Amino acid sequence: MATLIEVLVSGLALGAIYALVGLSLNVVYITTRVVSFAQGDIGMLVVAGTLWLGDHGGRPLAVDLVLALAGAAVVAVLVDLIAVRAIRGGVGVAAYGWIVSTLGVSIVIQNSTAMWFGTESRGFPHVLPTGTIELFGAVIPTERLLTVAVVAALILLLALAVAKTQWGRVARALADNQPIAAACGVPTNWIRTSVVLVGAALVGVAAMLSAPQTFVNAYIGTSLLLNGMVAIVLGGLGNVRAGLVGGLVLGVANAIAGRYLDSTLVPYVPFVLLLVWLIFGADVRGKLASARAARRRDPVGVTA
Amino acid sequence: MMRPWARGGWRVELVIVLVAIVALVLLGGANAYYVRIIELVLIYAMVGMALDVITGYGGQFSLGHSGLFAVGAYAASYGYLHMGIPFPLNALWAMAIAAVAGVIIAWPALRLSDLYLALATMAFAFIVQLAANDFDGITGGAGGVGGLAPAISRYGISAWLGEHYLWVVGLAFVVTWILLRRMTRSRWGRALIGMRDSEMLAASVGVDLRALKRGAFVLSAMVTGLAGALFAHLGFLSPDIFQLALSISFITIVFLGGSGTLIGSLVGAIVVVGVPERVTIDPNLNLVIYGALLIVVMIAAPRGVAGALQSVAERWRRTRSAPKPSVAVDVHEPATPGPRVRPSEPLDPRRALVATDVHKAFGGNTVLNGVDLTVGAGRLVGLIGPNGSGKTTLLNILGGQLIADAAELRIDDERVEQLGPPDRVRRGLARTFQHATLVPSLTVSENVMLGAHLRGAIPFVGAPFAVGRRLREERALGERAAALLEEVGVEPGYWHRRPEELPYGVTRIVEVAVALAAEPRYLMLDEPAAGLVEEEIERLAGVIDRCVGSGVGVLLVEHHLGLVLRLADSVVCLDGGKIIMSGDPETVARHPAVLEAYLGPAWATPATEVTP
Repeated sequence: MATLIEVLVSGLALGAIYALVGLSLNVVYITTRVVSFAQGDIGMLVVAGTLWLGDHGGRPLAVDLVLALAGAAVVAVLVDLIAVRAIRGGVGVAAYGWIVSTLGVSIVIQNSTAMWFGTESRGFPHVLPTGTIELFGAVIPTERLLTVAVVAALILLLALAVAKTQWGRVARALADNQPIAAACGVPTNWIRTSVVLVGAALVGVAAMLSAPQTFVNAYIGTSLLLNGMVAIVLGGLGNVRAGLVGGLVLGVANAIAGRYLDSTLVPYVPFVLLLVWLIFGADVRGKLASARAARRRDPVGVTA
Repeated sequence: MMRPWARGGWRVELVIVLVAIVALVLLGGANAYYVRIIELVLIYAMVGMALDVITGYGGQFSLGHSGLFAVGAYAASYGYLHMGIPFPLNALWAMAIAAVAGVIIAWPALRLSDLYLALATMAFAFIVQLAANDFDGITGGAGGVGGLAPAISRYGISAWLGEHYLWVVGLAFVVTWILLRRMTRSRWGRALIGMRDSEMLAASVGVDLRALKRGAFVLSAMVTGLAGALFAHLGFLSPDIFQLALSISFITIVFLGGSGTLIGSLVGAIVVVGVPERVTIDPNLNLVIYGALLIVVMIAAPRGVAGALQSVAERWRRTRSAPKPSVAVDVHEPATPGPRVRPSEPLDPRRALVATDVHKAFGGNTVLNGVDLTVGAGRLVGLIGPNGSGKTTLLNILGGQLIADAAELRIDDERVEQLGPPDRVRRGLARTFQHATLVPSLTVSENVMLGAHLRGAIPFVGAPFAVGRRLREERALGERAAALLEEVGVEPGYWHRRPEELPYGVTRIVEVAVALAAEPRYLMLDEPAAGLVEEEIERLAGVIDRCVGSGVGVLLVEHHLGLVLRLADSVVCLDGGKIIMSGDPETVARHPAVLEAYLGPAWATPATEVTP
């Protein structure tokens, strides 16, 4: 029982991080219809940048974190400008040219980082307080509980901003119909940029929370991205809530596999989960979607 | 007139083979190190061509080709080392295994949309990458598998082939190129491009999208498996070769060289594989440059090097051979249709397109509520009604683009509501769309040839092997397209232009030609006259009228009431998802309910004379 609680909590903490990466992908996807393959690398830039800043000058960790986050956010906006917006609107394969160009961005970021950061893996300082508490006989690191709390708080904050502020309304309008939003006077480019910034912040925080548990090198962006992608695919691309659930499911599945399965099998878990869900999940998703549609009256069905 | 799709017969193939032989003779004299690089370039270019078929032509992104390449390589090495299959034969075995892997990924993943396919194939690539380290029995674990060079084989022929391995690889490359080239220059190449640019249009002319995606993916997997086998026999397999990065290299090869060109992959492979072998300052810098190149190519030349050359060549060819459209005399002045003699015999419901009791709601919004409609062969039914009355929804349900909540649909007395769009086209139903829909990367005449997809007979699996037959089919389809374009009155100067270069009115009439190319018995036109000037409407009216006269049943959705009233045998008026009135044009035109629904309450006063 105690072990199970420990496994579950560590799974949830892990899952919260995946969910956050997934959220960052989803937020950008919903507004721009693009899943950037460089999103994980933006997260990597935050933690690698923090370590690099720590080596150069004696600022407090918090200052370095903020500086690195700001730097990575600028990179994210540049990536959107150069590798996504510049090639939008093509026909044929060019319509999906952003897959190719963001893959290119990922290669550039990873390998140029390797040049200034080095190729070795380094540890990362704990951002959240460490220690343990006892719960029903299980020993649980407070860091894990706090990770879940921080992620939950961020999600709540974002949900509030989307639901209650003018920014949220405008961003939703942009997601629904960009030409009409533009015709209504929405500064679409600025809103888009703000959404990209939010996405960068989310993946940056996710990287900060996960780095102390693992390590930092120029290539960790790939695993951040993968877990986030698996999370949102499990939940359904563009569905924020289901994406969060997908992240938690993936985290718990990983933790359980890590505890009970042979260690060589653990890395397969996310991919097998993803494939199984893609193969057999279509029917389940279809049923869920039609059940949802039946429950909720759709006000915009006039395609006649 | 040059017909681009018909080019590329055996003469061109002979030239390709001769050039390849000369190139191999020249290159074969290089020292062993360079020969190895050339072999590697050719193998990667093969994978590039395989990926081009599914991604460049078909528009389906695969990040899993590193996995398929690995499957081919390990199947070949295992077959060679442990199952006693000699060298050239184990390549076939590897192709078969890769095809099986392709089937396993393609069947479920291709039910999903584009991005999901990219993610599913990426998951496959990662699983293979992990398995390459873990399944020691097959892959030798992290240490890898060696002893694969055919030169040290037990079999005499393998050893001979090993000594001339460049020729083996070169032959495989040339044969693969020629076979894939034939496929892309058959009706299947157009179908792939149509699917890439507009799935809706491709399906509406009878292309079975799911089958085509699966077929193309399995073909792609087989070629990749063959390349993997050739790669294995370079001598040594290490699991860290088969990483996701390799898939990205393949994508780079395709897009750098030119997607949708096949041979562009050779250019891409030279840049991605060949150049770094020679010029390496810092491996990381190399990768940075190659990532940046990928971005630059997507911004500046999304069709890559070969694609850019191709469009230059095309422009040059066109300025030389094709007449300018503006000064051309109208080749076919359509006779202004007088009142067509309306068929007097009673309508035979077994020779008709029949919809019975159609219901459709979007969420809580009922769009069609028990609609009945019959379009007899050789008759024209005008479907009118205000915006939002459900006309297009009804068309989409008839065409199979939408599924009705409840309906009974028949084509010539055969129930079709369970069939997808392609099967309905097969049974004689064609349509146009409300919004201008042509395949942007095909020329006008190629669009019409795509419309005639089901008039072609060469099967997908046979396309790589058909030479004379394919040329004859292409010529026939091309001539048919020319005849149709002439019939609907599109000036020859436009025939080899792309849709974006056409005036709007010509686009609309070409769409009708695309639909007619399927030789339908029933034709549904969704507001074909919208946005046309009077002269173009007259031409359209002539086309529709001749069409009906030749026995085609036409369902015409149109807001141009005058056109409908003049052409129609009967008119149906929809409003709020119900038929509020139907009958012959004269009656409907005077009916108060129609006037009110269509023109507003003021028109419903009985004294008003209708002057359409």
